[in-house]
Amino acid sequence: MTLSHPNTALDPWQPPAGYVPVESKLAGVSVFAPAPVVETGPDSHLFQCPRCGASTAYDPGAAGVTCGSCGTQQYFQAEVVGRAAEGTEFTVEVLDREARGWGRERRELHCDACGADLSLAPNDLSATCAFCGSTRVVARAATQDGLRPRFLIPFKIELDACARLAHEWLGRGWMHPAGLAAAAGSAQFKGLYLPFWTFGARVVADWRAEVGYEHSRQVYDSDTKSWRTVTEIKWRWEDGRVTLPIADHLELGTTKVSATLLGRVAAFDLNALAAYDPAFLAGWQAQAYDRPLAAAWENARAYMREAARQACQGQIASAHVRNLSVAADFDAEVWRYILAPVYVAPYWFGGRLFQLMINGQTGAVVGQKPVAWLKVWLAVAALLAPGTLLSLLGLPLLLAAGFGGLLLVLGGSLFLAGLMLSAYLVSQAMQAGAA
Amino acid sequence: MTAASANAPTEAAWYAPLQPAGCAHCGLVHLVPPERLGQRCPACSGALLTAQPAPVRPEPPELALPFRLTPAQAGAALDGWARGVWLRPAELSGPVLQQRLQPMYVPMWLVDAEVVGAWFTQAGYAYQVASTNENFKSGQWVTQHVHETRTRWEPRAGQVQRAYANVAAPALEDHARLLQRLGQFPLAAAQPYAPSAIQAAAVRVPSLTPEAAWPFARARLDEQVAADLQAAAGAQQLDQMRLTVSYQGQHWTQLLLPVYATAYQDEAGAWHAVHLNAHTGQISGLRRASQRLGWQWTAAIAAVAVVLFILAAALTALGVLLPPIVALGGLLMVLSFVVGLVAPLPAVWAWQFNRPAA
Repeated sequence: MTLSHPNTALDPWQPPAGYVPVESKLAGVSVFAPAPVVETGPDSHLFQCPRCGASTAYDPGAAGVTCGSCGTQQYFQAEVVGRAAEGTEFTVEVLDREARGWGRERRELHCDACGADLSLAPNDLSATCAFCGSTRVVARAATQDGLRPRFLIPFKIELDACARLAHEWLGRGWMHPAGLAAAAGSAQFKGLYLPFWTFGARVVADWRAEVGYEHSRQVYDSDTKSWRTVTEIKWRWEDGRVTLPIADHLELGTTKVSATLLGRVAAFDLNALAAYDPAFLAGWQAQAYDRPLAAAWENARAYMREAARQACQGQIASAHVRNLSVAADFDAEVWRYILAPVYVAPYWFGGRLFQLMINGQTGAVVGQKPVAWLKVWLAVAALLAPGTLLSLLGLPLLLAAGFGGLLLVLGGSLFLAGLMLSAYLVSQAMQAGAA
Repeated sequence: MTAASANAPTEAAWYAPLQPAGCAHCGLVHLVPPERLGQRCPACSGALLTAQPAPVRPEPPELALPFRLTPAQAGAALDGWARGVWLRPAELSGPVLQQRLQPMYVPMWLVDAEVVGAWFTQAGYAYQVASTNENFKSGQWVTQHVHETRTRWEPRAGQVQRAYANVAAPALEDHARLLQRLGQFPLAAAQPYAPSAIQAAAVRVPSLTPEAAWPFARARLDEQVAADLQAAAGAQQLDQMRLTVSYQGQHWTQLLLPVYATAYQDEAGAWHAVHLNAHTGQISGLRRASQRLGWQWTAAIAAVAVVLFILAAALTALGVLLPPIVALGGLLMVLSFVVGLVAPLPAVWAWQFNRPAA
């Protein structure tokens, strides 16, 4: 029998705003989905002054793009997201594509200012035209790679401040050659955005170990006919669980810069993370990562599991632990690919080249400093001299007159103290000259 | 659709000589041939069928599922079912159940409709992430790489215009309970209705009109639409589904499902209906054990125990004269105790068997 029911009156249907048709796998059903975010616009941004046409660059002092010629400032809306910057999951798809490589090749950019063709290295995200000096930022660069920096820490330290910071840092300390601070004048600082990976995860670690507890008891020794205290360790199996959330663990994304120096300068404040905007890179060099995500994650994981192991041991209320086993389960793993600001500069001193690096956000300076070894050895000699002299005085007195014992002990003690201080001084000097 | 009418016109009920008959015990109405008036109600067996006016739709069913099992096959199945009870009443037997076997039909609705309208949902797409489990033992870490499946939710919307055929809907209030007890029927094997098929059978009169059954049909239609939308979107899951659709060109078909009905009387005189799916042989009914038989078995075993005990006592007494007999007396004494302990089991078993159904 044929029936009819009162039906809902249907209005002519329009897809929700921003929806586009997508493939339907079934006849008689149409499917609409939110339109994917497609970056439009040119492959690169050319930063030119709207007034005089000269090249413009990001100015950390003004937090905007400034014309180096006429001083015109242009501001843009920077979105500071801080540590809340969205992380990305370790999807199998991304890891597979990254492992196969993204097909990096040198890219050609056309300079609209002078018409020259620029050749861009795979890891360069910005460029300056060698012919007309115009600044250009690859907007969708690395974007064909699939992995692109989505966040960065903007420069806060201005280029002009670098010489002063370097001067102060080089002039600090007594074990360096005189006139070293003046060498800061020869340093040509170059601002660079360098690639970093950040990692976060929650580690749930179940541990099990034999834990030893000391027990003391009195034992009567029949040979000596006296009581003595005997300490024994009683072992028992214990277990526990540690839940360790780890956020924003930083790993280097480049192999082109000294890992030692970069590791020491990389104390960035991630609360300043901002969404990527090509304007931040205008007039600055920027490098894409060349240390793969998987390699950096391997390192970060090693750090996290060790942190978990130490947290497990921290739960154990005894110093005696053996047969420790830990099963660490990683969960909620996320990564970010960010750019961070660094100034690098080589400087000459005494005919030798040394490296200098300044954190572009905090102004912290690290680098190599030549050591005036003569000063160091003189200091070592001064430290060892009192002890040596007192000992040399005390020994003949003791042998000849029999009353130099106190001097000998005092001299020996001073000698030992001087020896320890000397070793510390030498290690500091070696460290300053290294990296 | 016209309003239901027809107050028992014997020749008018679906072109077959059937008339409405009611049961005073369960209140259900069947269409039965006149000769079955005065027989037990096929639904409950609790009372006799009496002629009773009842609203019956004039449109006959369009489809009927034929009886696949013959009465003999049904009787064999019922015999096996009855033999599952150890101490059963005399009436709970294959021959008795087969003798009372009567065919009956249970109605249901099949709905055809075209669903036209718009939809919106959150579509869930599965993807894999790489994770690790790390194990530290003997001073070394061992890494185990694992893949975890997670769901990414994305909004989807669109339009649908699809036809759905033979969507099942209940025609009886106890439809779901009946199908739960009798199992599913192969609806695809249904054949066009022929009045001759139901001439000798009792037919349950639908208690749910299409209007009353519409919410059930609509829910089933929506389920099928959701499944189609999931397939169309290529999603693994759907959530927060919203349908703004009309159900056009509805066609309702009444389908009759074949069932054998029979009954037995327990030793207390109560009647118990038994039903059998005439396609699959699945049986639904309450089996009662005979408590009287249980007591009889218990009494018999107890009597054996008493006899053994008396014999054992006599042999022990004789042991005064002939000591070796004492051992035999003791053995019999132990045996009498063992038999005595077993004696209550039949009565307890029958009580226990009947208890859950009480």
